[in-house]
Amino acid sequence: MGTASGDRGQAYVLEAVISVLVLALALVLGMQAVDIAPWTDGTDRQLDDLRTQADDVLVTAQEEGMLDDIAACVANDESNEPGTVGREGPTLLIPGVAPDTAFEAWLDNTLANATQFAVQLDYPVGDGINSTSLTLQSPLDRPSATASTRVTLSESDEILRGAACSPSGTTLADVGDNATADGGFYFDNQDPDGELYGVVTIRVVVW
Amino acid sequence: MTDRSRGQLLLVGAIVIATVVLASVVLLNTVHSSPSISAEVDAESLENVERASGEIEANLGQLFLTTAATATADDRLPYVNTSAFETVVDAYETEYNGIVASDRAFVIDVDYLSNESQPGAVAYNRSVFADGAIDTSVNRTVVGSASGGSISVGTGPLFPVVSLTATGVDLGPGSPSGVSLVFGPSQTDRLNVTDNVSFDDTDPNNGFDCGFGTIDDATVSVEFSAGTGTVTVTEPRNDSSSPHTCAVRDVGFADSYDEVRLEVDRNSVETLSYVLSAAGGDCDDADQATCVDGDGIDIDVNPSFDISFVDPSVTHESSFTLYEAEDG
Repeated sequence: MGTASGDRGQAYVLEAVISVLVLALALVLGMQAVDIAPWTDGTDRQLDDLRTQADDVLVTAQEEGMLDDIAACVANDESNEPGTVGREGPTLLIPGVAPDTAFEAWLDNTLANATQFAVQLDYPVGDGINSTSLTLQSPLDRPSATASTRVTLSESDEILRGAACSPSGTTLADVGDNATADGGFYFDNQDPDGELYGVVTIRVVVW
Repeated sequence: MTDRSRGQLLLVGAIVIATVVLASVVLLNTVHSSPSISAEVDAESLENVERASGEIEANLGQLFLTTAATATADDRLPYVNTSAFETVVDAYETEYNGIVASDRAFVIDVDYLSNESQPGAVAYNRSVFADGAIDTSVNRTVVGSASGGSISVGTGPLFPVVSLTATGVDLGPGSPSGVSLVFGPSQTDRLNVTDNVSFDDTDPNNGFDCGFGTIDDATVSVEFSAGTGTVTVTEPRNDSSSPHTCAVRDVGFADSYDEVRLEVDRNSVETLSYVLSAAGGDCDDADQATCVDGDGIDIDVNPSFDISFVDPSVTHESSFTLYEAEDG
C-alpha cells in the first residue's frame, strides 16, 4: 500500500524507462540508415579490390592454359613434388626473380606490381586433400584476400619438369595409377578407368 | 487521488511491457537478418556461381579435347566418343566436389547431355604438308555430307571448330593464291589465305577481311570456334616484332553444304595444317584426307551440359554448350 506520492514516483521512474527505451530504439533504427563506410579505414574495400584482381589474374591464366602447366609441373629432382620451390634452378613464382614460366611472368606483370602474394596448390591424397605452397612467401598475420580456381589434369597430359616446367616426354598415363608409390607424380590417378587424372586447386592469397 | 495514480501506474506498466516486447522483436530481427548482411551473403554466393561457372566451363572444354586424345591415341581433336565422355564428366563432377570442399561451401552437379550431342566429322592434318609434298593432290575434299544429304544440323554451329595454319605465305597485293577452304562447290563461301586473310560470303555481313599489308614468308594462323576467333600473322624474319592479330566474329555460313574442299597453290605455301569439325558431316566423300566420323562410334563434335550449383543460400542451374551457335 504505497502513498500517492510514492506511486507518482514509481510512475516517473517508469516514464523515464520508457523514454530511454524509445530513445534507444530510435538510435538503433536511425543508425541503420547511416552509411559508416567513410569512417572506416577502407580495409574491406581494399581486400575486395585485391580479391577481384586476383580472380582476374587466375581467370586469364586459366584461359591461356598457364595453370595447366603449373599443375603438371614437378621438381627436377627425384622427389616429384609439385612446383620447384627450394630445389634446382630459380625458385618458382617469386616476385622480382626472373620468371621461368608463363604463369610466373604473368604474376610478375600483374599482382607483383601492386601487392604481395602467395600461391598454393591443393591436391587429393587418399580420402583427403594435401596443400603445398608454390612460393616461399606465406601470408602474414594480417588481412588477406583469396582467389582460387580448379584445374583438370588428363592422362594424356605431359608431365613437366624443372623451374621452367619443360616437357619431360612422359605423360600421366605413363606413370601408372599409383604414381606416388612409384615416384612418378605428386598424386595418384583419381579415375583409373577414364581419361581424367584428377582435379587440383590453385589458390592465390594476396595481402 | 490514490486510485488515479494506481490507474496511471498500471497504464504505464502495460506500455513498458508492450514497448519492451516490441523493442526485443525489432532488435532481434536486426541482429539475425540484417538486410545488408543478407544481401552480402547473396551477392557472395552469386559471385561464387559466376566464378565456378567460368572454371567449370574451362575444365569441361579441356576435358572435351583430352578425351578425344584417348579415342585417337594421336592428337587432341575437337570430338568425343559420347559414352567415354559420360564417364569422364561423372568422374570430373566427383573430383571437383571433393577438391572444392577444402575452401568453398558449395557443390555442383554436372550432366553431360549426350542425347543432345551433335554428330559429325572432324577433318584434320596436323602432320603438316611439307614443302615439296604439296602437290596438286592436296586439293581435296576434306569432309563430306552425311548419308548423301548435307552438312547441316539443328540450331548449332555447322562448323564448331575451324583452324588453319600455313607457313611461307606471301601477303600483300599481287600475291599468289595461297590456301582456301571452300565450303561446297556451288557455294561462294571461302576462307582465303591469299593476298590477305578473308572469309568471302554471299552475305557481306557474314564475312571478314583482315588486311596486313605486304608481309613475305609469313606464318598465318586462322582459328575460330562457332564463328568467333582470331587471325594471327607472324613474321619469321623479324623475330622481335609482335604478331599481327585481327579479331573475327559472326562468321556466317549458309544453311547447309554438300562438302568442304581444300585448295592449295603449292608454290605459295611451305607447310600447312588444319582442323575442321563439321556437325552433320562425314568422311565418306573425303578424298585422301585424314578424317574421323561416326562410323562405328557415337561421335559428338559440340557437347552440351546442364550445370547445377548449390550453396546454403543460392541454387543456380544453367545450360552450357561448348561451342555456342552465333550463326547457324
